[in-house]
Amino acid sequence: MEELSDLQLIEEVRNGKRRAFTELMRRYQQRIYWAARRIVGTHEDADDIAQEAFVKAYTALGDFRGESSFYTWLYRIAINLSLNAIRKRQLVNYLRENDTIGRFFPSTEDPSRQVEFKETQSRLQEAIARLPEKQRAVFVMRYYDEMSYEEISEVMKTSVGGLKANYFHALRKVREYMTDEIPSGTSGHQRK
Amino acid sequence: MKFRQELPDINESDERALVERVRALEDESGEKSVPPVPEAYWQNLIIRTNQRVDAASSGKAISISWAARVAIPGVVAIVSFLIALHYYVPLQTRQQSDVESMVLALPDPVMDSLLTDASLSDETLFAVAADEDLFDVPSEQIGEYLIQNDNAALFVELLPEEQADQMLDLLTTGM
Repeated sequence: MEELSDLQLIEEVRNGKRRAFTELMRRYQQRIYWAARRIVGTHEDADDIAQEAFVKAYTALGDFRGESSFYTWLYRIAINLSLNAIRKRQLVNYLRENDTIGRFFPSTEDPSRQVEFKETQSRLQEAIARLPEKQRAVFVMRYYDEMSYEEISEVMKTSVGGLKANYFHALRKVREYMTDEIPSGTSGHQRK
Repeated sequence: MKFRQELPDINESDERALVERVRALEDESGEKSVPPVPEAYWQNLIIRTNQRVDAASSGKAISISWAARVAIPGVVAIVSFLIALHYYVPLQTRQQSDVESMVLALPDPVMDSLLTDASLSDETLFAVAADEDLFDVPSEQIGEYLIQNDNAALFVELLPEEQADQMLDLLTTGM
């Protein structure tokens, strides 16, 4: 089964052979997990997203036409789930900070765990976490997974030119954060 | 009017330089960007994902949950009621019909003996007509009763004198 291509495995799955899907999981679970992990920042969220991405892929396998590679298709599902998770978290944080739901629904997260998470996060992770969600996704795909702009364009459904700009800005922001540079809109930049 | 920001003309060398700078900074910090994951996690992830796939694809998740909370208790209650209804109500009827049929199947003499109160067997019941005075018992019946009960002396005492003489004549002539 390890010698079969993705498309052949998909055909096997459609014929009712679940082992073929397990093989697909084995091939891509780490890349999907790490992509989610770098975007959402926590193991728990990444674990949930990785599982959910494969579940969605399995149930929607009948709709997969083969226009893109299976991995690109699966990756797109994982990225969308990751971005949704970020938006949800931002909304919750906003409501809590504005004391809208904080009074009625106090945070169930352990405060000590939150501090621990911050302390163990690297400076690079902190920088990535500060990026807007789409820039964050593009950065992760290009910087860590070294995907081509064409592949990223398939995933994000954005033009290649827009992706290049997104990535460039993301790189500058990350560099500025890691060097404590004062962000500048001009070509020059100053150290704090 | 919406002004569209012009995208900067980014060439590959500029991008490459930035990437190298960020990687160098990452190396300089000496930190791992994300803590590693133990190897056993991946096998466990496959197992858990397969379980989720099973639940999602079979469509049983929702139906099982609904059945456990609503359908099963409801069906059990209804079935229990019907069973109780079936067995409880007909049981009484059957018992009655059984007793009744048994009684009706008895022969008439037996039936009659059952209707007689056994506790009064030592006394003779006199059947009288409805219009007769219950206290006006014929003397012959009284006589038979006394004789049957070894009380002939009382019987003779109660006989009128004329009847007593006639009876004595009959008895002495027959001897």
